Amino acid sequence: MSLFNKITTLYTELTDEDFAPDTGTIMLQNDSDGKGDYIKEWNHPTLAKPTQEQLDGVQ
Amino acid sequence: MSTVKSKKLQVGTDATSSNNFTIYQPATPDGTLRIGVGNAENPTEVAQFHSSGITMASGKTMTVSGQELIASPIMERRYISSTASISHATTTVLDFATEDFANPSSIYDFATNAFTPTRAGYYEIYFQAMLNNTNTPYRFMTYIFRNSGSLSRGYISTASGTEIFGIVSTTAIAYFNGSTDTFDFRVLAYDSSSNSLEIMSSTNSTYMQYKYLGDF
Repeated sequence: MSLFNKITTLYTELTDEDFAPDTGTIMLQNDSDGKGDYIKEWNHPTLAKPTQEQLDGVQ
Repeated sequence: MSTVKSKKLQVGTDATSSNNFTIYQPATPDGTLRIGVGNAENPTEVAQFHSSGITMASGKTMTVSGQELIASPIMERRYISSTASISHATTTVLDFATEDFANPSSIYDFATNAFTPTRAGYYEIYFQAMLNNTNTPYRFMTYIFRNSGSLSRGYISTASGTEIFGIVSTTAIAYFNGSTDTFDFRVLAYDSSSNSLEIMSSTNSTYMQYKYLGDF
């Protein structure tokens, strides 16, 4: 499961627009360095940035 | 009219040798006229005149109106050599693993997927990426980044559930300091069902190129 899908499983109210450049408040990135997707920026006004433990717990 | 024949002619008699110049012929004449900085006993070559023109010594430059002349353009072109899978809504730095050409040599860092110009000045940069219609992509963006900021972007979008398929390009001219400034290329795509998407490989689908324009 991708990082996006894990986050939106935890926070079902999030939509694609929350991840949109310029207007969104969350930015996911992959540097193609073998380390995979990660949260580059999390500036959501109400939802807390999920912990690694929370993300790991999503099936 | 008189004729002076000599192998060396020193111009200047300053006590500091680097303030003087010497016009000379090499110890073994080879049809060249050398101009060097320093006294006649030990000049350091700056340039030589010969029957074909002028050749600057290694590391020496020629300028016109304050701009350095570069005979062989600094440029590079690379492409992604295998399909890149990118996650939905995730900005992805592309890995341009394959070189088409580079002069004088590649400035690509395989560890960071970034380019670091080694000569200060302005560079013209072009980037295009081709999005496959695997799944149902509805929004696609391409970016040229300098350090951590976006220089330019390409963008195409349609309604979610409606498929887009094709190439989005972007270009920029920007200054790089020749030491620490870097640039890289990123893509961002959205799928109608939040699935992963594919950036197509091959030299004419997803590639980048840059050319050095000069410093002014």
